[in-house]
Amino acid sequence: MSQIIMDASVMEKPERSKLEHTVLKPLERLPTKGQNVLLAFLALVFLIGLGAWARQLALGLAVTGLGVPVFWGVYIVNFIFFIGISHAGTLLSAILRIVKADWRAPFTRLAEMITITSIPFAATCVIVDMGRPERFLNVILYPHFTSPILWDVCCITTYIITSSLYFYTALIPDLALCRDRLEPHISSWRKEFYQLSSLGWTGTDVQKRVHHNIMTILSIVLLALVISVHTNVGFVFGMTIKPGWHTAVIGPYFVIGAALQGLGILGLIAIFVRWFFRLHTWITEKHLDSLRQFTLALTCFWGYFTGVEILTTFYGHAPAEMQVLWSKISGPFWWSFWGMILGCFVIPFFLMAFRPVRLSRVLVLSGLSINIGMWLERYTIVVPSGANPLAYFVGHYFPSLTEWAITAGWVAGFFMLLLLFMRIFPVVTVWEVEEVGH
Amino acid sequence: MSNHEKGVSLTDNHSTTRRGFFKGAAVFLLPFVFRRARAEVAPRKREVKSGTRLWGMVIDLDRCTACQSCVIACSVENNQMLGNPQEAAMGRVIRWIRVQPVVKESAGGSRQSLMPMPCMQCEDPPCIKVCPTAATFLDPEGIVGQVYPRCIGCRYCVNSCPYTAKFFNWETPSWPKPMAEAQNPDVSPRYKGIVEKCLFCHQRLQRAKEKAAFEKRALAEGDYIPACVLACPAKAIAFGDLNDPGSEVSRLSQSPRAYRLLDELGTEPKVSYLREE
Amino acid sequence: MKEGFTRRDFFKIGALIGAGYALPRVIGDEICKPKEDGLPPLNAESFVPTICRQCPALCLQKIRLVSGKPVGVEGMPGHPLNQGALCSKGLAVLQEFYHPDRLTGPLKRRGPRGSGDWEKISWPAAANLVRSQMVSVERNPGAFGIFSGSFGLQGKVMEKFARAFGTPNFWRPHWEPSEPPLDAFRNPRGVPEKISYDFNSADLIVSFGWDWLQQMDSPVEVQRLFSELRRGRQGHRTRFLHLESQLSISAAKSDEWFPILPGREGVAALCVAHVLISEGLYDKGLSERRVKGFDSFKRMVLKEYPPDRAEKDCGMRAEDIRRIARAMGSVKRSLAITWRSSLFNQEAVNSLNLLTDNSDLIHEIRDFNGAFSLSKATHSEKTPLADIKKWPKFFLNASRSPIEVLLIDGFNPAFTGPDPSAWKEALGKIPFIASFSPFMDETSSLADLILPPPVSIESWQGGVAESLDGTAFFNFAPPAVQPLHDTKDAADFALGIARAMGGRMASLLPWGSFEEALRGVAKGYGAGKDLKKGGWRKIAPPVHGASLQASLENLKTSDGGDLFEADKSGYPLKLCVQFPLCFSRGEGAHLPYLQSLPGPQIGEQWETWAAIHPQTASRLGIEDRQMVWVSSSSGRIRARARLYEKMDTHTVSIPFGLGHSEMGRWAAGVGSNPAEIVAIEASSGKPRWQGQGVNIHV
Repeated sequence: MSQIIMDASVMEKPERSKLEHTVLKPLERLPTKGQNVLLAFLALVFLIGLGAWARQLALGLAVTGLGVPVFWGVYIVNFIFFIGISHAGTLLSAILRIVKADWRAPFTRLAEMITITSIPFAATCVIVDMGRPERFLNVILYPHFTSPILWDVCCITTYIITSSLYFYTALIPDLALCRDRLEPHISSWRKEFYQLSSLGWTGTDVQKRVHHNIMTILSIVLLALVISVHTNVGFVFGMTIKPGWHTAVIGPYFVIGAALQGLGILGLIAIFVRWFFRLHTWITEKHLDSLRQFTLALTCFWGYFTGVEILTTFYGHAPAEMQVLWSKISGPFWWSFWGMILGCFVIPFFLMAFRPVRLSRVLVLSGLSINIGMWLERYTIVVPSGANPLAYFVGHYFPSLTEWAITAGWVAGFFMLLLLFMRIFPVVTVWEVEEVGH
Repeated sequence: MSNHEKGVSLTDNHSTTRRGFFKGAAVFLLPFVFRRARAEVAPRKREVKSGTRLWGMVIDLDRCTACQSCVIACSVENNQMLGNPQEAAMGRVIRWIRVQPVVKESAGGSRQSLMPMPCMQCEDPPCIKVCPTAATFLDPEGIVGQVYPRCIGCRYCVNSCPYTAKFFNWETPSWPKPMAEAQNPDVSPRYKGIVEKCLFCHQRLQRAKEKAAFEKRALAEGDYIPACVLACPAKAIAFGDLNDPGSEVSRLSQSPRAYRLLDELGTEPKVSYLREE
Repeated sequence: MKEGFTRRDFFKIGALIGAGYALPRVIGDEICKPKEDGLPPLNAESFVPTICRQCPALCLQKIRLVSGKPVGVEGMPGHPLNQGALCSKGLAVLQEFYHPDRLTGPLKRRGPRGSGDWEKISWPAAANLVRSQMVSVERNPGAFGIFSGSFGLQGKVMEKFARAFGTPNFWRPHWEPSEPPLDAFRNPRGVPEKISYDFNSADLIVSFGWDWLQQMDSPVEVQRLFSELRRGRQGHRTRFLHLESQLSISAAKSDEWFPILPGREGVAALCVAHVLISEGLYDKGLSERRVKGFDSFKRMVLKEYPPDRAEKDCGMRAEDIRRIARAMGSVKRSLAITWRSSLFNQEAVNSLNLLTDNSDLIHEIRDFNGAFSLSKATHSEKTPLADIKKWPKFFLNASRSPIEVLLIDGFNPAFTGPDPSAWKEALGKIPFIASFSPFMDETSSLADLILPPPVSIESWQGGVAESLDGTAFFNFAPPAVQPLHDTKDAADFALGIARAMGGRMASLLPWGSFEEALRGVAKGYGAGKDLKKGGWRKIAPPVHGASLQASLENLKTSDGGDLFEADKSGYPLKLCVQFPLCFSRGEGAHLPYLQSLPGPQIGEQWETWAAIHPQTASRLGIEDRQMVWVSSSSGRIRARARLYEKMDTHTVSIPFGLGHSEMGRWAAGVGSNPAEIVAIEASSGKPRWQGQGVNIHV
């Protein structure tokens, strides 16, 4: 790996560069009324979700639409969904940092923020789904190593720790920037916070070298984790002998799906951030186009995996597997299946391959479509297999109001946390953009 | 990456120590991983010593009339939830043994078999592997147990059971007074958020062992009979020690009519059925 | 790092491997492996006998008491009738005992009838009230009446109570779905009380619409009988054919099932008879010689019941009719069975047994309960005012009720009907009603006085039960537990009244209590000493009455069925009421465990379902699990539509037993009562459980 000698003069400039100004300005301004209203709305929805959970804690999972034989529903769907969102950061910044794709630079911070803010919601989804959440520690007190759930707990814990470190490490130079360059009128706790958290970064060559090495190591570790985390989430299903779940492709399928979804949400949020923070100079059409190409490639991959999965099932024609497949294609789950095909493949492929509208709209629309599609994809995986067990009967399921409330609450909570992060941390990795720019 | 290129304080010494640590950890972990993998995941037949009892059941479908006495006998013995219309509509009423219609296609058309289905007490149970807290286990005499205080209610085992023979308590069952007095004191009542299952009336085995020990004798055939077997008017259920070649279950399970549900999955159920002819 | 492998390295690696082996064991065995907890110590466990009184079978039960509290129930091992087993209803007895909505003492009506306004009253006050009412009609004893659906000796005491008072108005309700086709037979006294089929001698049993595994008495014996017929005898396995509008449990357990329109079994039977005759498969010599009216029957059948008619009238294929006939003709011993539905069906089905010369497989059973004498009593042999089947109609037609004081024991016609609303109206005309019921049921809610008796395990029990082959047993048991509430046995109550009335009544019913009466009977059967231990005595071997006659003379050419008439009237579908075992006699819905049993084939519980064929459903635009109305000319009920492929496409099948407005928290307001949409056939007074024209809509 080559040495990167950064221009030391950057640090010595007393006035802010244009980029710094654009990035730091929103951190200084008091939040606008619109922002506050949005935040309050998100907080309200999140509180409603928390309230619904509190009720569920009191009354038990009876408040859900679950029953025999559909034992897992929307909570598990949400869990995979949030894990998928969290893959935005790691995938983009880790992979692209490793392969040194320059167009990554304006997106990395945002991507990592999405990771950090979505993981807590992913992890809590599992706890929401548990019958006895207060016994969560039993997983550690009485570990049973053959359980894919335990693997998942290990993977996700590692993932949370590593990606937090990764986020933080990448943030250190920018925290120092905040410490040094923000207007003095920001609140004192924030000053204190930037002071402490920037760990005395002054941008010396040694610091940069260590920083670079750590980032490289973490990128590689994270790349492995990205694959392991979502493969393991897939294993939770794949390791059972349930029709529709018991397939080897489910691990990589989940990884690809998560990556696609991560990019989708990144594109969506990036466009809004670009518009909101006026980042057009740094997030250029060229950057967006690279993002589009990458997402398009993953959409195709996703389509490929889906096709492989369906064709294999169909060709094998095992009755139990076919029962699940038919319930998706033409049975009671047709809406989620065809919604998934439309949302994850048809719409984004059309939009991104033919660009019928402006690029930024392409990214917004396909980002939305992919995320809805991926939620439906998880629903299509989790629920129909539950509803068609091997043991000779068919079940039915539709999420209850509580489940919808918690789902909405968790989505709102994620956006709320993301907005709060955006108020404290720069949304663009200043040092990286400058580094790449040189 | 070469450490010599770095201007940082990571020295070769540290590097060696680290490498040593990883080597040590690998040496330490290898047998560990190997043991667990071999013991838990690889398909195998558990070693059952000749003296050990292996409880099993044979249900003769040609005798069974689907009268469901077994269902009620089980409910009474095991303090099963009472149920109500709301829970029934959600499919949440727990009955450890149920009569399940199974349509079998044959050359002469389809035929509906009404099968009493308890837990199959697999020798290689898919539910045990997946439990993250080891709350479900195979006891030495072949009964798949469930530890209520340890269960976290993740419902993974319920999902992995191909027979849908495990059940989840969506809420704490209601036992209005004085109905709660009817509960069998030998069986702990369940509560919200845990998984439960047919235990072959394990409490009866414990009582039978207590009694045999008190009378200073070995457990004899017929000392231990689950409630469903005892209640069956058609005498369609045989129960006993599969490891004793002389027992009725052993004999019946060798019958040419005998088969096991979803045998192709390799779960090795200890409940077999005798088909109608 | 030194080159080579030192001793130090060796020990290090050795220790690591050792730990690597030991740690998993520690974790696996010490942490992961759950420990079994011992059971709580058992203090004072005991088993006491009692008798189940859910049906006339009077099975002996074994109640498990722990610290004096009943916590379990099993069948009595060794008892010849139930042989250690019980049916679902018998196993649910503890739920009846501990039911939170049991009546805790006698209640007297305060508000208007049916208002639900009651006041508590003491037993002596209740007895005074009943006695004064009886005294008021002493001059006209016919104005006093009793319904007694109680099984066992209690019912006999009530009967004797009525006789001693001098009234002919004692009614014992029948439950026809559980009875064989009695009306097809005659003995010198008329229609026999009980008959039995000799299933054991038959090689082939053809059930014409009788879900006998669920409906026939006694359930425990019937299940065992089936099991024995299938597997009990080496190398001999009885075959079963089943005609019914849906794949019921009996149909599923049979070798072959033939879908048929509900209620048309008689027509199908005569079509089978046609094939038997035209193909010469019947027993020519015997049938022609022995059976009265054979020639006219033969002419009628040959002319009017070709197998093709089954296609039109029964929805069956002619080919299937031929197959059934050939199957019956090809074995020596075959039995055609059905239940006590319409007279035409009973006679038509039974004609097959005459044709195949297997009528000797049907025996009359001596009714021991009928000859069961408590002492020399002067029986009033007069017949009651009205046949129980025509009871409501009779009372509704009368301007002033001929009955002024009515006692009802173990009978709930305001729910079971048939035609519950007519019963309610008729009961409303009676000036004084006292009802013995442990629960507030629909009939009791219309009464003036409710007298809760103890449930079976709380009281002295005794009675004669007949097995399927006619062997009779006297079963007896002491109370298994202390009564939970302030209750009094109906028989005890009646004996108290008789004593208070004095005179003839006191001399005819001289016992101080029911226990005393039971002791007297038990002595007669040589069980006086064992009474407190509980048990049974075999009192008679099967008696095969030679007097039973069945003829073909009365068979009319048609049952006047309304198949085509119904099509025009806007009720194009046919109702088939199912009688699940757990709700036999329409009872049991108040026990939560029984609520989860009725629909294993449909996958439904705790709800009244209306099963229809998926084709019918899609034609009518009805989806699975949708709530629908099922209406007939008599009314409409709400039910959950369920799609069931194994049924006739013109049929709606609804289970009987749910739809209570009373009976406690687990029954009230759950499901609907199909008795409300079943019409009564004017001529016979029989409800049209099968074949009622209905419509189904959202």
